[in-house]
This record gives sequence, C-alpha cells and structure tokens, in this order.
Amino acid sequence: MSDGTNLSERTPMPAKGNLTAAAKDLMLRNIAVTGLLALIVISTFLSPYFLTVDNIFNVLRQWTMVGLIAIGLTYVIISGGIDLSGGAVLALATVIGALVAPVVGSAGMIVIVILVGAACGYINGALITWGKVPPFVATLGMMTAARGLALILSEGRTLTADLAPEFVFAFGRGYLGPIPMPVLVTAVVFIVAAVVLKYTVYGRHVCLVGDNPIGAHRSGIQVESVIRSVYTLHGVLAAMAGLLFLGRLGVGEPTGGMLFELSGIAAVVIGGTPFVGGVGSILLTFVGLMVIGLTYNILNLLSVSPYAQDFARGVIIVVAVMFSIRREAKSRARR
Amino acid sequence: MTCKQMLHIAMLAGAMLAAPAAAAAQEVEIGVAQPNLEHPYRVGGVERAKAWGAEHPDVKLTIVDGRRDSATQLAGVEDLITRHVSAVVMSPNDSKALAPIADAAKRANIPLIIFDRKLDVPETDFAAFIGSDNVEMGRVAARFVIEKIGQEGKVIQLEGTPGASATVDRKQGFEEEMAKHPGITIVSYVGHYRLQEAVAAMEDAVTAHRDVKAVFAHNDTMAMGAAQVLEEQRLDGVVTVGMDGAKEGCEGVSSSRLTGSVYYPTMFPESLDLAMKVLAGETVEKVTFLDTPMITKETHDTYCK
Repeated sequence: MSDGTNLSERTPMPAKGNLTAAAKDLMLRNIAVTGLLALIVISTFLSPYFLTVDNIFNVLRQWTMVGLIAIGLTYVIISGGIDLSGGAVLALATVIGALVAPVVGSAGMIVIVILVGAACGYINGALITWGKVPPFVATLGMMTAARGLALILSEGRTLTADLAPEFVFAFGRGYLGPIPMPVLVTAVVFIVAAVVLKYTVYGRHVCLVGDNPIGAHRSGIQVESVIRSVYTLHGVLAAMAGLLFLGRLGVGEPTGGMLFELSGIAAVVIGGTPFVGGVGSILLTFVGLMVIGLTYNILNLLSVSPYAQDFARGVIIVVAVMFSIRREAKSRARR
Repeated sequence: MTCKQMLHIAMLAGAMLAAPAAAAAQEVEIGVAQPNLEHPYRVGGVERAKAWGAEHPDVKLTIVDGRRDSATQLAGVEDLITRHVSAVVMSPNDSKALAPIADAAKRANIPLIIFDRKLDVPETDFAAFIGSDNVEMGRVAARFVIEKIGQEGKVIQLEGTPGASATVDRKQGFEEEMAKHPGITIVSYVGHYRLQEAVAAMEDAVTAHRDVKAVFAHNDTMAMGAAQVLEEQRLDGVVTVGMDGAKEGCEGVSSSRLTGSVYYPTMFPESLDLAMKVLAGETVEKVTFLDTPMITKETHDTYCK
C-alpha cells in the first residue's frame, strides 16, 4: 500500500541523465500545479489588474464557500463516494441561520447551523450505509430535499438576517491586515483538513476505506462508521460555508449556493483525486479550486462576453480533468 | 307510516343533497397558475392575490404551483379545468409548452387570462392578456442612466440568467437605447439574478473598471449586491439601477443604496379584476400592457406599498 495522499509516489522517477524527460515527468505529475502556474503567468500578461493584492484576495474570498464544500468532497470522494448536496445544505444553513439569529443570538445560531449541517450529512451517510442507497442517489435526494426545506422555511423569500457585528466581522466583512477574515477561516480549515487526512489514523482509514473497503473491514476498521463520518464532515463544512454566506451577504437565500457542489467536484477532480477513491490531496484540491477561480476572474477582468465565458470555463475544466486523469491512468498502469 | 310522511322525508333528503350543490354553484372559483412559487416576484404576486381574495370572500382562489416545470404546470391547470373552475389566470412556464391548455380551456368554456408571460396561441384562443414590456423596461432604465450620468461614461450591466426571456428583452431594450449615445461604453457580466454571483461578478468588474459611472442590473437582488461591493470598495457616486421594484428594490431606493428601480407590476390584483370582468360578461381589452415606471426617491411612495 503506497502512501495514499502522495500521488507522485505512484509514478517512479525516470532513468537518470534524461533531463527533458525528467522535467516533463515532473510537470505531468503535478499537472494541476503546472496548469495553475501557467494560468497565473498568462493572466498577469493579459491584465494589469490581475496580479494585485486586492484582486487575489477578492478571488480567494469569492471561492471560500466552494472551497469548504470541496474539502468535504475530497474526503467523500477519497472514501469512494460522492456528495451532491453541498450547495443545497449551504442554502438551508443560510435560511435557518437567518431565522434563528434574532432568537438565539449569533453564537447560538452558529451552533444550530452546524448541527443542521451535521444532521444533513449524517442522514446522507445513514442512507448510504444502512439504507444501501447509492451515494449519488442518496445525496441527490438530500440536495432536492434540503433546497425544498429551505424554500418552505423561507416561503421562497430572501431573508434578511439580523446578525451581531462580531459575527459579520469574523465570517464575512472583516479583515486581519490585508487578509479578509473568511479567507483566514477557510485557510485554517484547509490546513487542519490536510493534516488530518495525511497524518492521523482517521485520515489513513478514510483512504483505506476508499482504496479497498473489504481489506479495511478485515483489518478491523469500522468501514460504515468511517463512511458516515465523511458525509457528516461534508455536511458540517457545507453549513460552515453557509455561515460565510450569511456573514458576507447578510441574507439567507433559499436559492443560494446553486451548483456549488459541481464547482467543488470539479476542483477535487482537477486536483487529481480520482473518482474511484483511495487517494487524494487537500492541497491539490486547493490548487484545483484556484484553477477554476482564477479562470472565472481573468475572463471577468478581460470583460470577455459572458456567453463566451461559459464556453471557455467548460473547455478549461474538461481539459484540466483530462490531463489529470490521463496521468492517473498512466501511473496505475505502471504500478 | 303514511305516504305523506315518506314524501316529506324524501323532500328533506333531496333538499339536503341539493343545498351544498347550489351553494357551490354560486361561488366563483378562480385558478391562479404560477410557473413557480419560489421566486420573490411570484411570491409577491401570490401575496397580493391572497390580499385580493380576502377582500372578495365570495371568490375562492386556488393557487397552482408549476414547480418550474412545464409538464407539472400543464397537469395542474388541466386539473383545474377538469374541476370546472370559473376562470383560469395563468403565467405560462413556457410559452410553447403550455399552448395546448388554451384549447382545453376553450372546449370546457372556461375563460383563460394570461399574465406576465405570453402564450404561443392565436388571440382568439384566450380571453385576455395582461403584462408589461421587458424591452421597454430596459429602455426606461437606459434613459434614466443617461439622465443621471450624461452622455459619456462606462456602465456595468449585470445580466440575469442567459437565455431567459426577461434577460434577453431587458438587455435588448437597454442596449438599443444606449446605442443612441456613442459616448457610453457598456461592459456586461452575468449574475444569474442571484446575490452571491452578482457580488462576485461585481468585484471583478470594478477591479477592471474603476472608472465606472453607473451599474444597471436586471433585477434588484443583483443591484443590491453591486451596491454592497461599491460601498465596500468606497466607490462613491456610482448610479445603481435595479429592476422589478418589489420589496427589495423599494427598500434599496428608500435606503439610498439604489438610485432607482424599474417597477415591474406583479399583475395582481389587475389580472384578477380582469378575470372578474370577463366572468361578468363585460368586454375587455384583449391585450393590456401595464406601465413600468421608474421608482426613485421622489416616486417611492406611489409604487411601494
């Protein structure tokens, strides 16, 4: 069993003395990073506004919500599953948050929203493990049901939330030096998630469950409870994204977070985590997220026609995934 | 027991059976079919319809949700026709997909009043249409922007969901009118009528275009998002214009975050009054267009209730 998170170890180094081949191999093994660097270099030439502190922090802040969902998705996909409910759970979280904030205050609201997210995620996990519902179907159901519940609770309206200034500062509009608070919060989650995945027993178990569930079961891992835990984690992170939404925009929006789950999945897959599970990296998910985020940003900065933008984004995502999957296939063949 | 007694009982039973039927015949039932009940515009319409219903206790309103799906809406309206409601007031989810309903209503002799969105059938197939012109709304917004910023400058347009008829029409009207002013440059972004998307697009837009003089958004939600970004980035004096003039737009204008909002009528109670006229046998205009005035600080009290 190779080290699960370190994708590069799956490809042996080429013979010594072949420098171009070595460089090519290095680039190919880190295709997402190479793509991101290329994107940054090209964009810097294309727009004078691109590589500015304000712009980069804008992009980071815009993608914090999808980022949190993508972290949850990385765990879920590594464990061999999929979760489509992220955007809807976010919307439900914002609506419930906006409804309970005036009653229980901002601190109580955070607790309730996180519990709601955990409940949604746990139900997903329970449906998959006890109900034997395939993850795609179970989470598709949750996606529809959570958004429906958000619409019922809000009566279809956008709810203005009455929030404590401290909450708005910490989760939305505040800055620490030049760094927006939501970016800081998300960065902490990314680091913790990366460390847990790579260096803890739990993280190793998640990889093993995705790589070989039968083997994991035989070696005494509670496979089903690991699976329930990753969906619960995903739900909690989606609810946390909802808190960032509330902090930043000040409203609970039942139609908010539309298609965030798909951007999240795209980020995970561009980061090289294969759909079959077993391996994956939080850091590379971040790289994938930035590939998508900066693509949106540069097209906007260049004022490219909005309709052409959708086309370009689609092509870029598919090309990025194509490269990372080819690399993955190659490394599997060599193994 | 005599024959007389038996007759009495039979008459009593007959009267008991007939009574509710007679009461139901007196009651007018209007079916209101909305393409969805989640969009604020639709929600606002339903609320105003219910308020109208409270003032007309003799009329029963049945609201049918199309759930953003033409087949669902078609089935819902078909049920109304099967139940023989007095009239159907409908905003079709899709102008072509819902077209068969006109024929069904005509055969059942139920007057059909179309509101907001057109139905793709000849004018003889429905009782009346009531709506507003989205292209004209775009023109109203453009004229207002010109009035505020003059003949020159950069305008950011935050578009709604691409391909939606409101988006296409509002964009067309706005750009048509602006084409008459060569000093104006329009840069367009898509915000999908949603807050978060509008905020993200606006952040990128003002990064590249700090010299922006006005923002025109296809709905108030996006205009409020733009206003938030302008506020955060301390860009003062930018004219912000939204559309729809529902609760959000009215609040935006009264709090000075929006310079103006083009009012799009919810068609309630107008469409219900129209239905009542048709039921009373009065002649009505086949096609009615309600005005789309500009809500500003000055006109706020007239249009915002």
